Amino acid sequence: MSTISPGLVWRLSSRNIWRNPKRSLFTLLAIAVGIWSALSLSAFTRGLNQTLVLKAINNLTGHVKVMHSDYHRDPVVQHRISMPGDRELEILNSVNVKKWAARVRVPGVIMSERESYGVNIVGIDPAQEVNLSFVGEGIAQGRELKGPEDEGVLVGKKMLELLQTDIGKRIVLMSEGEAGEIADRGFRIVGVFDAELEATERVFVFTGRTVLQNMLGIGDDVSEVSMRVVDGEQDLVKTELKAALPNDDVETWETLEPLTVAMRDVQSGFLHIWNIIVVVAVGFGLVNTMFMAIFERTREFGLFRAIGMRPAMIYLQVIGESIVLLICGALLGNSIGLLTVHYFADGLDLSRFAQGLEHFGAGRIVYPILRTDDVVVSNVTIVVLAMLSTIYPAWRAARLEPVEALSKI
Amino acid sequence: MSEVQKQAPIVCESVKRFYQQGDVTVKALAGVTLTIESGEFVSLSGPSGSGKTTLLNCVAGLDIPTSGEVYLIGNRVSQMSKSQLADLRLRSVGFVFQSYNLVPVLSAQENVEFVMELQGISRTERAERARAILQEVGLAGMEHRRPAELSGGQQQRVAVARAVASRPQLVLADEPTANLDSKTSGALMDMMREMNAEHGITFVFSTHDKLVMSRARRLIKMHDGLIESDEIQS
Repeated sequence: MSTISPGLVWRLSSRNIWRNPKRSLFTLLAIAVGIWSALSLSAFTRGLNQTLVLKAINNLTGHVKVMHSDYHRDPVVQHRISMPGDRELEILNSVNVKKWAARVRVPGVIMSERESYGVNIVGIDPAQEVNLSFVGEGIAQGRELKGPEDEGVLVGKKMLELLQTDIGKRIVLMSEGEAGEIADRGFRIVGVFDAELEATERVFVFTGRTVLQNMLGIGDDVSEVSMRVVDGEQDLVKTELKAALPNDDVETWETLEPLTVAMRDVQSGFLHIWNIIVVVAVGFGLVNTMFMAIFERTREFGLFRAIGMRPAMIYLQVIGESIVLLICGALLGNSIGLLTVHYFADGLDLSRFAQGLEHFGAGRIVYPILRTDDVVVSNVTIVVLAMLSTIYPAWRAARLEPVEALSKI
Repeated sequence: MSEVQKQAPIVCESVKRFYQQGDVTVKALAGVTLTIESGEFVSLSGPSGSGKTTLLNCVAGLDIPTSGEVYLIGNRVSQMSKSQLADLRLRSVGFVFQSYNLVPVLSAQENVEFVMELQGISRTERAERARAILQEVGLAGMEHRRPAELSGGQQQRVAVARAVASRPQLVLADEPTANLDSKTSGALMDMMREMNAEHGITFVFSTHDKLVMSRARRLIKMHDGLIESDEIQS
């Protein structure tokens, strides 16, 4: 029996790659670009998804929220809950909950001398909002609220513009009171917040929680208790709270922000589709290259078979060529991919598209997130499918009939 | 035919090979009976389409006769599997083709070592044998050149060197001088004759070339798939 000489297979495979350097280079680039695009796209999509989710959570939603059972359907003042009692506080102050805040939040109207707009009036304890929601991240102009008794009002940058007013000026907030009467009072604008998303700047107006409770006449009651929890403990906290408050509604952000969840899933879906397109394109490219490489060498394979080379060795030789191309392409693709992610590690500024992004609820800066499983999946899929796509050309080469092959010029 | 004769490098008994081309049956070999003994230096000549290449292919087990029997170095070709045939060729038959003979990505020496490497001969031994044979064919100092860096005549010398380096009993050459000028052809023929004389290797080559025919000891002429004449030249 003729032996399969690994040395000879390797020599033939590796040298044949450089027989047509241009073609090999293009194939290598196709693989590299495939992996690079799969990596960068997944990193940016993950990043975009994360900003999307963070924005949603930051937007007064939190990970878990407790509300009156009818509040989500109809967020009026009558659908309110008591301030957390001992049993709830035990859960809220447990290690699983990072931060929590109790807020009064009712629909109302803000009026300046010139304009009036429908808004969400939110009564907060500013200290509770730090590291919990965007309003705790500081303000753009003026001063922050000092406590739940603060009688000042914070409005969004956009709202200030719409109301054609300024810091220090008075506005009137009006809502439905506890008994269904009109509850209103004058406030002074003390600060302006910048929420990146104009929609947020238009929707929310903040004041001290006690002040709003007094205006509405609801005593110590609140509309919602929102919290941030330790990663992965969301469902546990929800279950505990639900047990403590069987009559209230306890929901996670996924239920409260279905649009964000849908956007996230759609983007992940696009990512998968893109990866499939890339893999198919690379696969076809490789099949084509290998077929061309074999077509050019038909006579040579005929000669090999005539002098007694085993088909397996021809097969291994063709597969070997693809493996070398694949490894080089994959190394290049991964390197460029990692460099791209590293280059944009401080965030990719999408201001130019920010108007459009707002509709998605995402922020202007995306921080790419490269997950190990994405790297593994991108590489494994492309490498495995590219390997599969060379099996057929290799098999064809190995099955060539020497007489027919030798008669080809 | 006696068993002793069947041990000869090549024995053909009424070998026919028909091809179907559309509705027409092409009789490439119309019944060839032939014995080539060990150590012979044989030329197969005849016009295009006379069946030279088909006969060589059938002899080498690369093509299967429609009827008749071929014995290659004592083996009945029709009873052997493809892999047994491949192995027999690897061990006992050297090939020289008219062109595209060498592996372009391997150097002259690596090309000569090629068959030996497939046979599993050790690196040192094959390098030694390759260098010796390259020297014998007048290519000393060109061991590391790739085929593209060699002239047509030099390439065919490397091909002959590869064919004989593995010490086969038989070398089959299909128009080995077709792309060479007469001077180079003559030199290549002289070289093959030397190999034949010194190593006792049987050579069978198909050719159109008068010069090649004139150097053969036995001249077989073919026409329309049959042997027209078979004579020993002085």
